Amino acid sequence: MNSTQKLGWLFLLAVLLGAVTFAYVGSVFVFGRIPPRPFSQILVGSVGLGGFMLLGLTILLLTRRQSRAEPEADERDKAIMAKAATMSFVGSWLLLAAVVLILGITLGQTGTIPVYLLTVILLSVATATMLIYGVAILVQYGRGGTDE
Amino acid sequence: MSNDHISNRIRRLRFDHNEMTQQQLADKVRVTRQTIIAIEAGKYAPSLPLAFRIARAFGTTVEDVFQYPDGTKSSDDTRSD
Repeated sequence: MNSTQKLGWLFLLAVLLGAVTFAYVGSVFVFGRIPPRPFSQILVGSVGLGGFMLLGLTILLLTRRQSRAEPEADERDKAIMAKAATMSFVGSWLLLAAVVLILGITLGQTGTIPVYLLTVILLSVATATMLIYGVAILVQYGRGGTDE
Repeated sequence: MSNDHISNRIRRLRFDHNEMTQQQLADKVRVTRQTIIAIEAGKYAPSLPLAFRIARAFGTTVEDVFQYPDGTKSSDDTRSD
């Protein structure tokens, strides 16, 4: 696994962590208060956060370069990253357009949405962009091979 | 990345050169091992500079390492001068 693949995995981890945090913060907004038994939830949240960080560190530390001469990124890595960036850029715009269209169709010309929903939409699109970027990198690499 | 199916003799050449590993070849041509794997498997067509570096690592010509299906000439055909 090289640095670009690590980047892909880190983006996926960040999205997962972001989704968990977003769900928790979102529940506070939706329910208007912190759900019952906050101490146990903080404990569970801390353990979960620690787990994610440990997983990220493990990926970073245990997948070092196999050789000192090996570059961080070569021409194929750069091509993969460029393609992933294009895919995530196009994907994010398509997603945003789809959300706006759906809202427009369902709510009509005079419909309204709460202000916080705009933030939620933008955060969701940003998260989806990261997700597409990470997945696009990992899919392009495909399965690794063995030294022969 | 190109979808052109450029075949190559890298695996054969590696074994002919003291059973060179993919990592050793990758270090010689300054790319990652994954890139060598992808080139060997025909999943990635290298740039011209990289193709030259690979050929030089084996002490041979680019056409001896890579073959393009249409209008391919062997290395002997190119030396018709």
